[in-house]
Amino acid sequence: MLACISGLLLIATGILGAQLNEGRYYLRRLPDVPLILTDGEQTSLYRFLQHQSILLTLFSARCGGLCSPYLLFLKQALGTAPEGFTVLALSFDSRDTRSDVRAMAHRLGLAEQPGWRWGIIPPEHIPRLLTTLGYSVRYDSARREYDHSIVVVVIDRRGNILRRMEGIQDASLLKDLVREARGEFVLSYPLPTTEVALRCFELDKETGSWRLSWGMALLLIPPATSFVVAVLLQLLLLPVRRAKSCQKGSAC
Amino acid sequence: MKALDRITAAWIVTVLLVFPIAILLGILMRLNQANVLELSSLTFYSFMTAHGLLMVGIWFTMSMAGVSYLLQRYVEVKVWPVTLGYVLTLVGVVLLLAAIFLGDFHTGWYFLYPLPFYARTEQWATTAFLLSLGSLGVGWTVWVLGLLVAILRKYSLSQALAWQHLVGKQEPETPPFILITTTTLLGLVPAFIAAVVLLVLFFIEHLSGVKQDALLMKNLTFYFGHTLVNEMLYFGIATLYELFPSFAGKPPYKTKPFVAAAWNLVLLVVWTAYFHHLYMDFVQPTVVQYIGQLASWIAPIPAVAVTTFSVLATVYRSGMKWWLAPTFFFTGVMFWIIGGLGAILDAIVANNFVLHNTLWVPGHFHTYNLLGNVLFSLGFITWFVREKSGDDSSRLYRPVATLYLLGGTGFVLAFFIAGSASVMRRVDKYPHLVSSGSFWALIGAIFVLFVLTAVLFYVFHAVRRCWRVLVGSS
Ligand code: HEM
Ligand SMILES: [Cu+2]
Repeated sequence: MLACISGLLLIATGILGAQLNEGRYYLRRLPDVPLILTDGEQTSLYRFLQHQSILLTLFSARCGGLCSPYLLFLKQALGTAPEGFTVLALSFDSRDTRSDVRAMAHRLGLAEQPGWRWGIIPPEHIPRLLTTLGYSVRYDSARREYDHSIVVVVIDRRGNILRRMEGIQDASLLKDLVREARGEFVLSYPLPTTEVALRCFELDKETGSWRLSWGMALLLIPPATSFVVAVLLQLLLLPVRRAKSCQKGSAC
Repeated sequence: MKALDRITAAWIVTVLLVFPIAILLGILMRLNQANVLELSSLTFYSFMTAHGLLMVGIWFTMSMAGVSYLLQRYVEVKVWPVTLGYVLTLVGVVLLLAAIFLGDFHTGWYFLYPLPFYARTEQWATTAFLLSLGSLGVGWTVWVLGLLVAILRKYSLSQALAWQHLVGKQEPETPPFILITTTTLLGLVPAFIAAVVLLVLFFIEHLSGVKQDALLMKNLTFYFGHTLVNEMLYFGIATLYELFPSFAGKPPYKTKPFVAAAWNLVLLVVWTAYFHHLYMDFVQPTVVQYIGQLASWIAPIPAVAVTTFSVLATVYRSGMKWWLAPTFFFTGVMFWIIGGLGAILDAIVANNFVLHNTLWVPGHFHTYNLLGNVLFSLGFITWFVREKSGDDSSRLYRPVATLYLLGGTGFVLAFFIAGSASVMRRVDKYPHLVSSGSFWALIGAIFVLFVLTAVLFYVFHAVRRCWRVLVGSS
């Protein structure tokens, strides 16, 4: 049982540790941007969402940094897209063309991956989308390289952000994102931070072990104090009771 | 005119005047859920918060006022704790209503952390709310301790808890009223201390911004909130034990060993029953969940069993002349059983997965409140009015009893039915998926109109007579 609880705690803290600010994005609605997909389909985000929820990720076909490893991580963690979902990979780079993106998908071995779709957005619509997603892109002209977020975002059919996961993380967390988007109950508990006054649990981040902490002990104050109060009243009022029974003339 | 009569009359007048207003808020909520009205969400949640807190507040204090009055039959009761309780309650309620209606405070009645810092428009509303809680807490703690002292000046703790009867001794005799009142008071002390701890933590965050642990706050909240509403029912039972046999022309109840055992058991476990509010909090240590499950059964079942047994034995072949007061007490016990069953079903972990946060919950707590605890208090009030004015409200008997019980039954049934169809509680408009909720809301609202009619007649009758006691002209 202990192992079970600590396991849950670990998962929970893992998820939340990674996404402490996810609340900021929850239920933000994405703009209905036009999409030009590599297979030739031209549509808009909302029309696309009529048929599926999506796991959205962004990249640049010209990126020599994190984009390829991140997409390979997603490939490994997700495999084919989970049921009811499409993995939608869009370029955030206004210079990318459809064929650039198609080439990138081929290079990563993801062009034919079931459930994955690739595409670009007309340049004038890119900034709106990035802002809503909280996606940061900075071009480092010295290195001639992008410095950007790596993120996967779960979007429901109305275009709302359900979850947002930043960085390369344990693959099981990604699965939890999907489960939660399906309405399954995924356990989570805020990571104890130093800002919290009295915690119920203390977690050792190195070993993952936890123990009860002083917060829980606070729950003993009410019964303990009441016990003391009752005993005190009992003792303090003893003379009064004695005097009363004397008045009544019984033995005293 | 004795001071205790006056303050009791003041409680009755105040409670009875607030009652119809709180009912009206309930009707408006139901009509909004039925799509007959279009309240804004904020208005709905303000009404919900005001309704829940007012109802719990007035019926808790009324049950304690009834007990305070009857306690003078056995021990010397000082009036000032009751009066202080009254004044500080008024202060608390005024602050609370200001927070809700001027500051848009709308957390729901048990103000779960961290809602008090967010569910409001005006920042001062949080301060007003916390001060209100402080005022109520101090007032009620002093009142409870005042009654406890009054009892312990005559009975030792072990006598007050009837331990001598537990082991079969007859002397000295502890009446059931003293036993039940003592266990209830002793159960309330830790609940109020929990509220103090909670309040301190809230203030720390309010003033310094240091965050609190949500699990700890939830535990403290229900330690206070659950225990309060649980114990107020026991005050009602104490009143019943004191008054009911005399209605049937029978001698007062004696404390039998099993009665003593049942109430001592209540004292022992009642403060752990609140854990059933945290079944869905998976980080709560698992043993605690088991304790909560057990306590949820041990706290009510023996008490219900012995009370039902005593009441039925009293009525059986008694040739009891039924009038409003005994009818209120008797039906109160019957609905207490029904509501209790509904609650126990919900407090089983496996069922809680389905019923948690559905209208099943307002279904069961309205049953043992509107049709249980409130009836115990109305029983006391009816008796008090007869004592003071000689009027046994016989003209009201049939119409009031019929309308109230019929309307009340329909009203709670609408909650139960919608709840078993998974309609969620605390929602101002039902989404398409559970649109049957709107139909049952309308049915509920229609039935409440019967209740409201009965209550208005009754209030008019009782308030006039108690007012005379209050101003001392009878
Ligand atoms: C005829 C009288 C009453 C009516 C019409 C009424 C109506 C309602 C309604 C419509 C709700 C909201 C249910 C939901 O959708 O979640 C509610 C909640 C509540 N009621 Fe009543 N009620 C009545 C009597 C009482 C009494 C006598 C008590 C207690 C002593 C009480 C205590 C509460 C509480 C504590 C809540 C929960 C508020 C919250 O969730 O924060 N009510 N009532
Ligand atoms: Cu409870």
